Amino acid sequence: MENKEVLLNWLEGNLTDDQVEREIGSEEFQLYKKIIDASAKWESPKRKSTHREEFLTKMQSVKKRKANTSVLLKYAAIFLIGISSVLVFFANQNIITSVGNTEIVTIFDGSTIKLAPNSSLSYNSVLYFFNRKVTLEGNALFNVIPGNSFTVNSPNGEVSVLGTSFNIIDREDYFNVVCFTGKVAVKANKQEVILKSLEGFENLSNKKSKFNDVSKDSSNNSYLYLNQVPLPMVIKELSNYYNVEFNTDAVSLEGTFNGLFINDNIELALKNVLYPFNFDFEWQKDNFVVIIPRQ
Amino acid sequence: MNLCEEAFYVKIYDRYSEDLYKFLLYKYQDSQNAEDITQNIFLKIWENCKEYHLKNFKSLLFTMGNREALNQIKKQQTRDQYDPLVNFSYKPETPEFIIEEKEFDLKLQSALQKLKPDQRVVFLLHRVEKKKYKQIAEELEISVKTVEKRIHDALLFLRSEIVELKKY
Repeated sequence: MENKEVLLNWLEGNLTDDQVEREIGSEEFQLYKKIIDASAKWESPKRKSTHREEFLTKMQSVKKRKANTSVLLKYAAIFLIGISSVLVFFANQNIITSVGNTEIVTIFDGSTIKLAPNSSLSYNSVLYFFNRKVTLEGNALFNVIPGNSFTVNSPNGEVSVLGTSFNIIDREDYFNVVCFTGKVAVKANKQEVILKSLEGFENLSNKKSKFNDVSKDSSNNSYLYLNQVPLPMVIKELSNYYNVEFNTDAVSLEGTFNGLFINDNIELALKNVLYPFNFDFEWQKDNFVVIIPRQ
Repeated sequence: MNLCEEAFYVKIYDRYSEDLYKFLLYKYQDSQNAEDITQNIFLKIWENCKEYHLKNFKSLLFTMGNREALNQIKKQQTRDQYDPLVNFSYKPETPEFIIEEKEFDLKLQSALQKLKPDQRVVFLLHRVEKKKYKQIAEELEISVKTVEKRIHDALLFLRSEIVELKKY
C-alpha cells in the first residue's frame, strides 16, 4: 500500500495504529499521530442561540414588507385601472346630426370638422391626444391642424393626413374623399391612394380623379365641392341637408355629379344639381319635391 | 413542502443553516462573517421563496454562500490574511504533557490557517465534524477522490509545517 492510501484509510478508521506504524515507520507515524489526535479533540464551534432569534425576527420583517408592498401594488393597480377607464369612458365624444342640421366640431388641437346632416362623428378626447383618431359615418368636411398623423375611420375606408382640409362622404356602400389642401392618404377597397390638392377618390369607379374648377375656398360654409358622386347619392345628400323628400319616379337617376353642392339655398342647390342632367323639379308640399324631365 | 410557508422554512433553516455556517467558517475562518452571510443567504431565499426549490438545496446554499463570502473578501482586503479568527478549544487529557500538548496544538492551529481554503474545509469537516469522505463529497458536490486528495494534501502540508517549526 502506498503511504497516501495508508493515511487515508487510517483517518477513516479502517486501519489500526499498529498497522499504520508498520507500514510507514515509527517516526512518521508519531508525527501524523499527533496531528490526528490533536485535531480530533477540536470541538465544533457553537453558534450562539441568539442568532436563531435574530434570524426569525428578520424573517418576520421580510414577510411584512413583502405583504405590504404586494397589497400596496394591488391597490395602486386597481386605482390606476379605475381612473384610466373612467377617464377614457367619459372622454368619449359622440356628435350626431339629424336631417336638416349641420354641426361644426372643434377639437382641442384646433382641428375643425363640419358635420353634414344625418352624420355622426365620434372620438375619445383622451386617446385623441395620443393618436388623433376619429370615426365618421356620413358626410363631413375636415380642416386639420398640422401635427401628428390624423386618421378618420369610416365604414368603407380609412383616411389619414398630417394637416389639410378634405371632405369625406361615407354613406351605405358609397365612399368619397375630396382633398382641398395638402395631402391625404386613403385606404379603401384594400388599396391605398394618395390624394394631392384638388384630387378626389371614390370607391365605385375605384379611381382617383382630378378637378380644377374649384377654388380653395370651396371648403367654406355655404357650398361643398362634389367630385363624381353618383346622382342618387347627391339626391340623398340634398334630402339630408334640406330635410325634404323626393319623388324620382319620372326620371332615371343615372350618371355622376361634378360640381358645387350648395348648403344654404335649396332652390339654388336643386338647380345646380338637376339642370346639368336636364331635370327640373316641382314643389308639392313644403318638404316634398318631384323631379321631372326638363321641358 | 412550500419554501414560502413560514413554519416549514424555519425547519429548513434549523436543518441546513448549521452546515452552511460551518462550511463558511472553516473555509474563510471568520465566525462573525460566517454568521452574517448564513443569515443573509437564508433571508434572500425567503424573500424570493417562489424562485427556489428544495431540490439541490444544500449545494445552492453553499454556492450562494461562497459567492457572497468571496465578494466580501474582495471588499475588505485590509484584513490580515492570517489573523486567526477561529480557535478550537483545547482539552488536555494527560496533565503531565499539558504544556507540550498545548504548544503543539497552537502550532497546529496556526499551520491550519495557512492551508488552502478548499483543503481546510474538507480537513475540518472530517476531523471536527467527524464526517466520512463520502458524506463530504456529497455535501460539497465533489468526487470522493477529490475529497481524499484534499485531505491528504492537507495532512502533508500540516506535517511539513510542524517539522519546519520544530527546527527552531
